[in-house]
Amino acid sequence: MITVNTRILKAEFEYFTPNTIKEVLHLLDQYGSDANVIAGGTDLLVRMKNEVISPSHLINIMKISEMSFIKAEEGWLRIGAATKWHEVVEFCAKDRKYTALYEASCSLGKVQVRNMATIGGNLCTASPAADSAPALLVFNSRVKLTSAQGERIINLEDFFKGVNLTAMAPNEIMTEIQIPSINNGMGSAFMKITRVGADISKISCAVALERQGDICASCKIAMGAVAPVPMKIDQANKIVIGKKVDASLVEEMEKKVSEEINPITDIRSTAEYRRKTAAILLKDVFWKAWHRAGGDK
Amino acid sequence: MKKRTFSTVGQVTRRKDGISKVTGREVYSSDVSLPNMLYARVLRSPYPHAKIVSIDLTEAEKMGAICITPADVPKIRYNERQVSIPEKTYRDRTVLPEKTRHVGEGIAAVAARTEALAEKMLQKITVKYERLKAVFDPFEAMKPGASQLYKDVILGDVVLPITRNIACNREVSEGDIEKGFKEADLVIENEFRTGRAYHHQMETKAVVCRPEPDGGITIWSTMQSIHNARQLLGRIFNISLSKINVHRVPIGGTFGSSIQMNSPVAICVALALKARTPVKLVLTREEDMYDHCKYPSIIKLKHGIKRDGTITAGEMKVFVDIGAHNIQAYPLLGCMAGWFVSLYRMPHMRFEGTSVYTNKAPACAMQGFGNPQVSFAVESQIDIIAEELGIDPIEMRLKNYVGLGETFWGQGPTVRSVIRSCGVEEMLIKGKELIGWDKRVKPEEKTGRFRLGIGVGRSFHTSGTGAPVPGEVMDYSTAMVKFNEDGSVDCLTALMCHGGGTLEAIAKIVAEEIGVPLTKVEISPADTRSTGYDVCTHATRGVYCGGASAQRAANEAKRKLLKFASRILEVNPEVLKIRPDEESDQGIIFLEGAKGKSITVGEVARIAQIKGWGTAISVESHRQVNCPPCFVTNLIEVEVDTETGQIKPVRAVAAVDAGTVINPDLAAGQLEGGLCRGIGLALLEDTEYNPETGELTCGANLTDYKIYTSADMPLVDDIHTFFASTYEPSGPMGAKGVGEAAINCTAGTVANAIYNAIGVRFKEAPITPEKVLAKLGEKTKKH
Ligand SMILES: Cc1cc2nc3c(=O)[nH]c(=O)nc-3n(C[C@H](O)[C@H](O)[C@H](O)COP(=O)(O)OP(=O)(O)OC[C@H]3O[C@@H](n4cnc5c(N)ncnc54)[C@H](O)[C@@H]3O)c2cc1C
Repeated sequence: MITVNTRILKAEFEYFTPNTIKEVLHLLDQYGSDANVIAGGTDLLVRMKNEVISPSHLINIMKISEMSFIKAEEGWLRIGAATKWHEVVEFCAKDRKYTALYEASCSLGKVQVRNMATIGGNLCTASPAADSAPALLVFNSRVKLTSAQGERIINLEDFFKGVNLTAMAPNEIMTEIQIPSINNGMGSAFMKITRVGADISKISCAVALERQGDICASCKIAMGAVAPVPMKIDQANKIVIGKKVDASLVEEMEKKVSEEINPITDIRSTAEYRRKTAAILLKDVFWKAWHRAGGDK
Repeated sequence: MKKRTFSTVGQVTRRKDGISKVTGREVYSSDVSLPNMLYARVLRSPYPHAKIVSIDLTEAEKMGAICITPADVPKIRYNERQVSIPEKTYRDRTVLPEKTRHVGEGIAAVAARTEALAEKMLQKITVKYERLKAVFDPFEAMKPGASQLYKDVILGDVVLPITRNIACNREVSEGDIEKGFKEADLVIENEFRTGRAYHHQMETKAVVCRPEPDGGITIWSTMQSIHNARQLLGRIFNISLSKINVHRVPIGGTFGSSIQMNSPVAICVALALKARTPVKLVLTREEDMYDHCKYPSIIKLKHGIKRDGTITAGEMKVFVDIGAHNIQAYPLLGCMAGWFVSLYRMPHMRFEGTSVYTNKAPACAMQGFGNPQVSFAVESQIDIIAEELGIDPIEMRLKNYVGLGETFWGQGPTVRSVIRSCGVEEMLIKGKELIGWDKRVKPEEKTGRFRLGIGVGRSFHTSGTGAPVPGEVMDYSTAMVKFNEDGSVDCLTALMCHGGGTLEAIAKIVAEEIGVPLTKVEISPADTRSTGYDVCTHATRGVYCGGASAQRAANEAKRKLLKFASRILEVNPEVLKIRPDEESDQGIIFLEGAKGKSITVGEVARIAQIKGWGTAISVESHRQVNCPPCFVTNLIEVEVDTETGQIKPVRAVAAVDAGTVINPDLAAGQLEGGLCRGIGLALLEDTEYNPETGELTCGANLTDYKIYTSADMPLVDDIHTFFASTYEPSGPMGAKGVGEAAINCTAGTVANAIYNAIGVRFKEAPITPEKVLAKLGEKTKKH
């Protein structure tokens, strides 16, 4: 829009930097939907400069230490919502089990963005193209939402409600992301197609699977930028589960996925292109995950 | 031609402006800040085509805004670029228009204490528009009855009616085209298209204007020609040229987008004159993207060829969608004709070019000025012909290229010169080896999902716009060189550096010509009041033309210095020479073979001053009477993913024949930069418009206007750059240009590589994965 000036922030707002979750919740209760949480700001500031939103109160959550952590305990990998992407990358590089998440994290922006942006921000923006979403979906992740009234935990797939729409109430924030621990034998992968090297996805895909020899024991597929929300692919994966995997079976799966998705034409690509490449991307990601999974003796 | 050996020229040296750039201390236009300065913002049209009925400033002025509207600015119509002679300059714009012709056109402006305040004031202005039908397609625009952008424009001093939105056209022919086609065994005809890429220079257009107590103005702005702005502002605002001072300010890239005085400059001046205090105006990226773009092209190309590969005739018909203003469409069309005739020998040729107004951002020069477009078409066509005839593409090129002793049109039909240095053959032969051409196989022999393909392409650019006979474009430079009393040398020129190291090259040429170390030569800050005229740093003329004037000034100042030295040393001045001396860290004047007869440059300058002999100083204005082509060659290997349509450049050879290379690292950098933007032109870059709203579909921001970066290029080790070993007799130290040449053949080369990979010929750039998949789909359907 030619009427906006993205060099400056025209809107005026009150700015808070609380140190605890409690303070945030208190502020949210006070200001409700006039307030907006700001984490890395890499999505929010863009929308504010473009005058898509103009909150009158901004609550910075980056000073809250209890929101930034990565812990593996009691069957869960727990990541604080205000954890920066570069920390997620570092963790996954060491741990090596969450390959799909590692690949998604590495592909998100470039160094500058990963040093600012957070995992919670990526999910809460609820962009259909959010790169962490497919990776987290295939691991059956859930998110913890907190309000002054208490906490609730919901599955990630129930969190996304539409473009920029989530299940979060105006007085809630996301405090953590929980990923079930992964068996050693699980193989996973994430890939995306973009216009240039550092870019938001035209389309993205993650797969996590387990093998028993040539049999696919379990398989989860998720895709980004193929529907209003990042989505789990629930039919195509059934084609391979419990079966001996070969190229023709994967081909069947490719056909199925194109039926399941509902892509649109936008500035990054066309619906037709997305439909065609969804199948290809699925094939590529599937085989990558397959070769990574144990049992490939 | 025997090559000279040099002590400074051709050496890799540390760049003089390097430290200020990498430490962030360079002062760009947007960094300029003056006491009592106000900030300006421009109210821009949301409509592509509308009459402005009224503008209500009441509310904004209540807030203290200083405002200007079309009613407040001089009515004079001008062209922001004044490189063509006045009779060939089309003038269609005013400081602010009475009707808006594209989304984003400035229609009013305010100045206030802060930018944020100015922004708020803008929102208080109410404008009544009478919307007019808009046209976005050049062919629609030419239809009878289509909505008209202009009733008339001014050409020279004459009112020129505009019909069917045709801004101008040009026809050029040589020989007898019908005869040429009759002589041919084969006639091949194709249509090619290239996109409306955005310049995407790092720094958006910016200007600071300070009104002076004597009625004059001082300007700091993003410009390629400070003298252009001085003359224009003098005319528009009726200010004596001696009261206008335009400073040269380092620029954060331009790619041609500041050859013309950018649109915010005149707006800022009008505001500053009204406010009587300095005003600053820096465009946002959104505004910048609505301010300028590359000329797109639709090229219908027809060649007549004999079985043996001899071209008998060539015909090119070009349509250019220039957008809302005619900045330089006339010279563009001439240049396109020139690029066409100068690529390959054609005894009979015809060129027909039409430029059309549409309600889009105005197009202007961008690296190559029509040449990447022409070369995309011609280099694709040459490969098509070669395949048809079963001739190797490199052989086809070697057989037909215009080379040594032949005529080159450096700037359209009126600027011609004879080629006196040529590295075409050398580059093709060496490039062929480097890329492994002999292992290249036909597309039919390739299988699998990922297919590699190698393509070749060649082109050139002019070095400046000089010629034996003055043509339709002006071209000369002025330089001053003087000796200081410590042996250092000042060089003053209005030439501009766009980031590629032009002024660095000037310093080297001066150091070499005199015989002092490079560290002793500095380029002085320049402004219009202290420099002689320089047309513009465009047309790849910086080194070849600007360098030649600096060389002459250096030579003359040196002559004067040696005269002083001859008095001291008591020898004839003609026998004295200067060489860089390590011990004294400056130039030393000596008499060959005579020991003791030597003295440092600084000592001579000092004695001359004490004795009152004067300063060794010289100012030279010089016009080059040639425009030698700097030839380029690319060989590129791409990998095509036939299932996703993605294309990745994996290896590249880029070579230039720049004559003597003054700055080898920087010249190689130009080649790499040209490669990167050229691949972008082939595969990615374009600006599209929403036909309903007239807005850019990318939202005029960089989130959705992508360019390739190092992340998308072949790995450093897989990019091979080299220089032809030539010497241009008319160039300073044997040099020609590099800048624009670097991009000219890349898009065509990429298209040829894609064809070699998958056997599909793309004639429309950018060749996006979406298009590739669609075409591959058609292909499999046919089989
Ligand atoms: C140059 C650039 C490149 C990018 N590349 C990519 C890419 O490749 N892939 C990709 O997916 N994204 C990309 N992005 C988008 C963005 O960086 C990510 O989505 C990022 O993770 C957002 O995190 P943030 O901390 O900056 O969020 P913010 O901008 O701070 O917040 C985003 C939204 O989430 C809300 N929010 C944030 N945290 C919470 C919380 N804990 N609880 C409740 N609400 C919250 C905010 O109120 C806001 O609405 C890019 C952005 C830029 C500028």
